[in-house]
Amino acid sequence: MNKLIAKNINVWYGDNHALKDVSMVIEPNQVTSLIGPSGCGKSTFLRLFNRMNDYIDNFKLGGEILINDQNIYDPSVNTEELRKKVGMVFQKPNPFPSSIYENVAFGLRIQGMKKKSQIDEIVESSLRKAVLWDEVKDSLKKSAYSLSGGQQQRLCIARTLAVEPEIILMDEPASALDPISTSKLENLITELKKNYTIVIVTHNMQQAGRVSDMTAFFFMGSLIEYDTTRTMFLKPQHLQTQNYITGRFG
Amino acid sequence: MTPQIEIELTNLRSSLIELSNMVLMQIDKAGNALNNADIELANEVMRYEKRINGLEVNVEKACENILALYNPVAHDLRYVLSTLKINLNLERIGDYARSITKIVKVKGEAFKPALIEMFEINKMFQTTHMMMLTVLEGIETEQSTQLKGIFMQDDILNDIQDQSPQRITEHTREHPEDLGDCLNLYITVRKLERVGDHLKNIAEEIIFYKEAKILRHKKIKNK
Repeated sequence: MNKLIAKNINVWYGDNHALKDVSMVIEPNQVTSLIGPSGCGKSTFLRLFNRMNDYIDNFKLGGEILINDQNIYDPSVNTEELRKKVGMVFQKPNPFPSSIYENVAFGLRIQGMKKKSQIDEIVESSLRKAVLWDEVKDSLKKSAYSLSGGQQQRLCIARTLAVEPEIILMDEPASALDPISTSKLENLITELKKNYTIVIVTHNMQQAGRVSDMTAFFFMGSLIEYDTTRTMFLKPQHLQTQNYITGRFG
Repeated sequence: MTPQIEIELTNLRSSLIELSNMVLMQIDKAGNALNNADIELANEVMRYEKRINGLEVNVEKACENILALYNPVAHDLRYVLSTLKINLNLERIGDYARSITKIVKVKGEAFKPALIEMFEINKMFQTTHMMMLTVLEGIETEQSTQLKGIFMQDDILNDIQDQSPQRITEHTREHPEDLGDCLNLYITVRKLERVGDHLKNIAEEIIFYKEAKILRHKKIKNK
């Protein structure tokens, strides 16, 4: 698996210069946290990796995003294929209004997979990887909405895993979860990094400290500091980083 | 608006400064009690020790509180971790001051000035006083630059302790009647040498807090 590389990224939404000359290398099989105050550009940066910003009016990009050495904004890139490779988990669990099973099978059917035994196998393995199988194996036909918030979020992760991505983007995945569900999700993230590269946006400093190997601090569209999580939380080099993580941000 | 953790840390800092001042006073009083065979002053040091122990427990509780409720990171975390260790070291210095006054009480009268001179007791008290002032300044100003001098001052105390056995041997050869006093003063020398070690530990903790550098177990030339 190759690195994710952002080269001299500038993003504008109309006149709003949302990201300013951001360059960053995200290592494979690591969890990288993006932190910073609201509006600092971290979610915009995250969504660059699966081209989710393309849907936003007046979005303009300068610079390159390379995945497996390929610029994913090259006109030749198929965005559907890209999004199979780069899965995403959102702030609020967003299961489809169908059964637990169908939620996970959905992406496989879209890909044209028809063989039931094959779909069954992938549904089970995805639910197992998302540490949800034991809780839902006897109720796969039940509506996904019957699950708790934490279970729904893990179902969304299972749905993402089913199409075998290499990279998983998470945008505040635990912000709507209770502490127990959050703890399960964090354990899951740690487990998943063995096979996937994970980039996570979080407002929870302790969560960034617990789950990530690397942490990047954004402020007003600029990448202020990017280092190992240990360094960022023990001895950040920049005063702005220190003020933010210690809650003294004015 | 001041973050609540800032208020907690400010309170913690005040308690630590108060504890440091109390310990400094205890060491000075122990020195005076020894020099002047002042039993009343020795009793005062022993009584005051309980207040030091109480404050030490309060500082520890405040650290525990901040760790549990505020999840400090970066310099805040280092400050709390350092304070926990500084607190423990200060309490131990308080214990040594008390032990020295016990010797004063047991002796019940003044030691011969020549013996005090031979063991360089006053030089040791002066050195620990200066080290203590430097440490106190470090705690108050949170500056680490002046603290490196502590390591050289600690060497003075170590040297005096190292020379003491030879001095006892030579002195008691001619004055065997002084053996008991020599042993008591040697115990005092050892306690002051330990006070120096604790002050050095405190200096290391302040440097850790300010510079995020761990100096423990490193040779002086690397500090």
